[in-house]
Amino acid sequence: MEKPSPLNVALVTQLNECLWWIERHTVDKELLLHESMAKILCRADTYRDVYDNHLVSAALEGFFAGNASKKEKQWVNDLLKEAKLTVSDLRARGFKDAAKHIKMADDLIHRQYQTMRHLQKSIDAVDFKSRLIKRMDLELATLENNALAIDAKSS
Amino acid sequence: MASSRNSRKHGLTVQVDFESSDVYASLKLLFSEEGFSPFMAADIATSLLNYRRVMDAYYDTYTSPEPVDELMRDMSVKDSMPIFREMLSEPDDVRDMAAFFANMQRKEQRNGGPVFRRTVDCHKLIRYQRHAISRRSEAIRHP
Repeated sequence: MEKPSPLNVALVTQLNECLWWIERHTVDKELLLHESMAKILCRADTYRDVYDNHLVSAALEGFFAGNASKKEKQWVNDLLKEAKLTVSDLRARGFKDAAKHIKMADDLIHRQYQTMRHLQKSIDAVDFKSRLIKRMDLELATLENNALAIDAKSS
Repeated sequence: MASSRNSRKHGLTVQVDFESSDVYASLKLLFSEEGFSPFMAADIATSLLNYRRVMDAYYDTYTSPEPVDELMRDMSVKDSMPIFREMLSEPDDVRDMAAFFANMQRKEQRNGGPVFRRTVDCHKLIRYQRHAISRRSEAIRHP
């Protein structure tokens, strides 16, 4: 866009907003999976009646990031052993349990992509319209000049 | 239903009169100056404000999901039985109370944490987004 109009600015801002939402929902997809895995692990704990995701979630986060303390690492390994799962099994089961919600997050991302497509078309339409107006102005100016030239010639 | 509760809370189910707002007047003026006809400028201004309203509701829904009742979620119904027995004399009442709490706890656990809740809540607003976007596109790309 050579000289963006106010409408174009508004539309581009919305485009930017869509990108922000896509980023957010993509992070959420990972968080959903993480929470689901933590839920599976804390159910494998000896105190299975007490549902506490926070501790397991924090330990699991460190475990996957590779910065868990020795104690946390041992705990996660023990929980995996108790649940009779490997890390990839845990991920697969976590995905299965959270599949419905991950699909919802995917829908939200898809919605933003569709919005972006709509926005892109609208931006193009506005841009085309302004170019058309500019072209018509130029044509009008040329016609006026020609008419003036004819007037000058006839007089 | 939670979906209608959400949309009602944010006023998405009611028609809003944007035309009396100052922002509407400013936008309409800007678009008229851009070369749009008064009718189109008004339509675009309304559709932009409507889209903003939906996205603000979406943001609110995302940032403030229904809070997790951690006490309910984390309590041990089995360990609470002596308290129920102390409170209620009839064994049937104690059983009913335990069943009630167990049911509430299951519901709370099924709803998941904040990320699960906000995903579900935002998902319910998709149709409002879709409507607002097509309305805006129609207004802008009006022949």
